[in-house]
Amino acid sequence: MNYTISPDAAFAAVDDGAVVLHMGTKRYYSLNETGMFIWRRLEDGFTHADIVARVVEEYDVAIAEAEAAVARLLDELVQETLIQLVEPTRAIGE
Amino acid sequence: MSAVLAGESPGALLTARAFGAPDELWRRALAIEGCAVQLERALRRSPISDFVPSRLREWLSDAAARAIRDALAVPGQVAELAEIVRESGARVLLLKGAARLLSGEVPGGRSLADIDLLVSPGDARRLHDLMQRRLGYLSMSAAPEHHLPVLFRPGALPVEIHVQLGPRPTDLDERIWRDARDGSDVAVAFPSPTGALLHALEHGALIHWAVRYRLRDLLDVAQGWNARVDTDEVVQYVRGHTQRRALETILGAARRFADAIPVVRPSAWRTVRRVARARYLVVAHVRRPALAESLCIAAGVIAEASPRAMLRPAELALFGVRQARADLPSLT
Repeated sequence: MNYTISPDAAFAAVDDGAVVLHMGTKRYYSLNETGMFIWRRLEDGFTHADIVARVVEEYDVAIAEAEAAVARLLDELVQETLIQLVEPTRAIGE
Repeated sequence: MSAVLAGESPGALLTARAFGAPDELWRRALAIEGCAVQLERALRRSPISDFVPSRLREWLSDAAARAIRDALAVPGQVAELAEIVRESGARVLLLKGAARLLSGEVPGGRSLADIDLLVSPGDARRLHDLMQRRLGYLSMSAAPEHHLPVLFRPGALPVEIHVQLGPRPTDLDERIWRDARDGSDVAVAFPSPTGALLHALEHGALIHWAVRYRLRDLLDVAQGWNARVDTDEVVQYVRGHTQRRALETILGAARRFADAIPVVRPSAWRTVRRVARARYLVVAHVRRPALAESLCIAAGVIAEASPRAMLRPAELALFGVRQARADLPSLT
């Protein structure tokens, strides 16, 4: 699964993590260090699976734990329209 | 830059030329125009966003992140300031970016250099002292005639306490108080939409005359133009102003970014483009920052070519090149 960051989402690192501001709703969301790490990977265009792999590597956690944490955060970000799920394109006749 | 800010899609040739410009020229152009944050936001929605050179993308992204951090600091800083204002009994008007932000503008939509306050001359010194004693601000040693020395504190935006809006008094010094509204949460007042719009116009023409017609000022006017602005009053005020031509040019050129603005000077955008090109010509070819800054001012004045603008070299001789250069964002 791939995600794109909404053009309405603006990110800024702060002292103890980061904030993501939704320019449309004017609401802002704080991210802890792990959330910031995941957001940075989204900026780099990583897929869901790649992000989980990087979280496992960076934080030395079990894959199931990383999978759950990443899925939870990405779901929230999608719900708040800060990111969008990109549907994979299918070849004709597939 | 202006095409993207206006929501247009520049052609392939123009895009290639713009993004093929040296990084240093982009850096200087952004310093002059003061609109890196707005450009970053506009590029996100532009079809040319994938072609932005990496260095430029990095600068824009840094500017946008800094704008958010500064915007998030403003409410807390104004709230503690309001406590002091309440105790002192002074009437204080919050100006420009901080006022717009606390009036509901999107946080981080533009950069904030400082928090500007307008205070009656009798109260200003007392407030200036209180902010140092009670809130731990430190004071710069010198200031232009229209505000007290800048107050600063590590980790906070600098605060400027103005006793009048610009270096010379104008009708707006009185007018801006007339329909100012008191803040609901904080003990400071806010300009009305019309007052704020007139201030944005005068600020662009009179305060930043060394970089008059920069995109930041045009965008401030365009973004400040809304249904609550009294169009007739703005047009009348501009017509009666000693700097009518400059104010009309800013208003007319801002129409490129907000088409609800009335047509007041059809040639406005041509003037703005001519002035910008003259400045870019200088900063593209003159390497030494100090010389580039001085020539940039001169090129803008000559390119503007209005009778009043041409008098400004005499004004420079009277008030000193140093002050004019202080108005120009540093190119170093």
